[in-house]
Amino acid sequence: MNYFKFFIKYSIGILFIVLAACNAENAEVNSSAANNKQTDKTLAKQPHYIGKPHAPIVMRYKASVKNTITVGQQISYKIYFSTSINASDLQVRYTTKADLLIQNPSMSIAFGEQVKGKKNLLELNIIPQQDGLFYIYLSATLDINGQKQSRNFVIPVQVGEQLIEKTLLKKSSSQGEVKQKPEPARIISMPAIETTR
Amino acid sequence: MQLLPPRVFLSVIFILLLQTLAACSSGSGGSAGGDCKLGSSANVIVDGTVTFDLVPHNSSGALDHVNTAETSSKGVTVEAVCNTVIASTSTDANGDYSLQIPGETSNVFIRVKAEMKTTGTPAWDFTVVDNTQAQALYSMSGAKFNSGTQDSTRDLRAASGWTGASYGNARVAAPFAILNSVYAASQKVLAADATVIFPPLKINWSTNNVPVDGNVNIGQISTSFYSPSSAEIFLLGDEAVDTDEYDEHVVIHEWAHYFEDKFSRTDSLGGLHSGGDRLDMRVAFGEGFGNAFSAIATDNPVYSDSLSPLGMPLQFNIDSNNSCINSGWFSECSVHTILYDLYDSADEGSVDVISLGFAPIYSVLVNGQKNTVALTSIFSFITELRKNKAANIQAAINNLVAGPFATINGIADEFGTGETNSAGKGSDVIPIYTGITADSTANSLCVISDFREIISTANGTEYFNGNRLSSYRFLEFVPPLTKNYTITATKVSGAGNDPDIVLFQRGSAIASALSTQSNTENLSTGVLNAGATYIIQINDAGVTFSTSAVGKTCFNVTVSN
Repeated sequence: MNYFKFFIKYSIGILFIVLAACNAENAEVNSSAANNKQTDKTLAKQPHYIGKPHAPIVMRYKASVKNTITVGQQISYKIYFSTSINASDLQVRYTTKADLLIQNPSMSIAFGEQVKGKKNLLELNIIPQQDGLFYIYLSATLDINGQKQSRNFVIPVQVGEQLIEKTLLKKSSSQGEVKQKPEPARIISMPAIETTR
Repeated sequence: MQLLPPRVFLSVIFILLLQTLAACSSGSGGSAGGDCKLGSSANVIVDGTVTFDLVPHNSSGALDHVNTAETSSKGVTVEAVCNTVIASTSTDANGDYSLQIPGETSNVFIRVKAEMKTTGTPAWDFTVVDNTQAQALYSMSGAKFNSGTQDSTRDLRAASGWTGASYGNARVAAPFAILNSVYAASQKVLAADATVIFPPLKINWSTNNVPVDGNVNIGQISTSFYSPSSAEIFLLGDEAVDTDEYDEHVVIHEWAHYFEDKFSRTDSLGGLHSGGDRLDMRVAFGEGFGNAFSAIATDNPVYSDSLSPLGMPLQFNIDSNNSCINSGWFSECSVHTILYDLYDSADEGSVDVISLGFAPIYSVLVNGQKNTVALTSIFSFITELRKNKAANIQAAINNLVAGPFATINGIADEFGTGETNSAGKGSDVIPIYTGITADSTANSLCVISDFREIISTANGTEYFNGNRLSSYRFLEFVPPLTKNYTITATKVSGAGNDPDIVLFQRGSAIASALSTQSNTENLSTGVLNAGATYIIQINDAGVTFSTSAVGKTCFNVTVSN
């Protein structure tokens, strides 16, 4: 019986160690980029993140719901677009995947002539179809003297309490299997098209 | 409550333990070749070619899947795996590899890692990892086979995964396409300096990477970017919104930031930018160099960012020689046009009559530009480039920077002394540096909000990207004595009330005063060396970052003993 008690304690101990090891590995992921993107006085003295060129369009938004979003609940977004240069037109296209139903009758809007700083409002209503992390995809296109330039955006929609990582894991599995052994580093193994000669 | 019998309980514990181990293993990898058995026969050669699907751009800059081309994968690691790695090599410039493994080895397989690594001189260490999978390294593997007693050839190809209207299959080619761009970039540098040791660079790419600020661990990376603090590149990959793996100019633009950071010097503030922006000169040079180097490394001056089917591609010709919108020393368009024209062999019109190639540009970046006492800008670069050049070359450089796409009115020195292009804002922008001596005051130095751009809103306050022209003003100070000094900025006019001071020496911030004290700021410099050059940066937090101060705010700046 003493052996039995010892074994239970030992087993539970191992269980916790294994779980801790799993969690520790998952927690090692880099987060420096997010930390480096703060907009405060530190920008005055140290390098910020350095991104690719983009069309001079800015997007901001407000959602009608601040608490947890639930399946079937209609969510309204007020989405503002502005440009830093004058342009003859600004058009916005938007879409979602099947997880979010868009209630708007059209999937695009034209705001017409733009002057620097003008705010253009797009009101968008969606109804989530299932729990998870989803996105509204938007593309804003400026027409500058007949030359068109786009900038793409997404608005994240977290539906329910489901862990984001769980949604992600499901999505990532299509890229390949993650393997640890025999190497010390994690490796994503994807299938090659192999031919022999 | 009824207790389980001891044996059943024991079994439950065992099963739990096994399940936990299995879950851990499935999440973070298992044995790659569990059934492999090493043979004892003489070694055989397994060779072949590694390729990937390269998706080109059409004439408008969109991805052209119809014309996808099988392309050799250069310099990548190839391994024979039999439970563990039993042989390893790298592909050559044709994508060819050759490995020797024991004959009669059963269930061995060939694996290609999305990495380019070599040691010695030169050396490099470039890897493509998934930021949403704990930075796991991408690889592709062939089928298990028996090595037999005869040599064999096994070609491995990474497919794009495109199935006609979308990526219906795994996007195996993506990490190898990214490395192909990195290969082109690094080869251009190696051609200028064959002894380069490239510091390790991780390139984070995922099909989950989307353009929104948030948690990079789930793919919310904001945009494709280089992070100087972690020395890593992040690239967009969600096919619904923006994929950058085949946008070689985008990949190399970010790689150029890595190069500038590690081999030269970047004083850039980073942040959002576009071709028509009037930027802080440090940002303009960094982004202009990124654009120019993407054209130099590919020998293709047409920059294309495909932006997926959702949007119109972003495309511009770096060698167009057309006038840039809002041209000047503060324009990334002006900078990239100058740098590319310095490099390219094609001379156009009377403005571009110079073709230096990349080696002189490289030399300036890793020497003069790296050590300039001024902040990094087109002024410091051109000043260093002109040094020790023949008179006709100097004249050609001067001719270029005065061109219609640049409108820089002569570059006298690294401080831009005498520059007259103020973007129409006169003394709110120029002189670029104000000279100041000990126990003196520079009166009414102004910062302006005219060129800033909103990037976010929080609690009703709008925040701006503080990387624009005249968000900051600069003073040049050469101490007469080695000692401590006090720098004071005092507001004299305008809506701003939160001056800040940063002191730089050769681009490094050596002291700063960033308090929220109203209307005045004091900086105790620490010991400064007599005769050395220091740059004092002045700004107003409200004017630079938020709507709390719109317009112009001016300060008196004093340096006292």
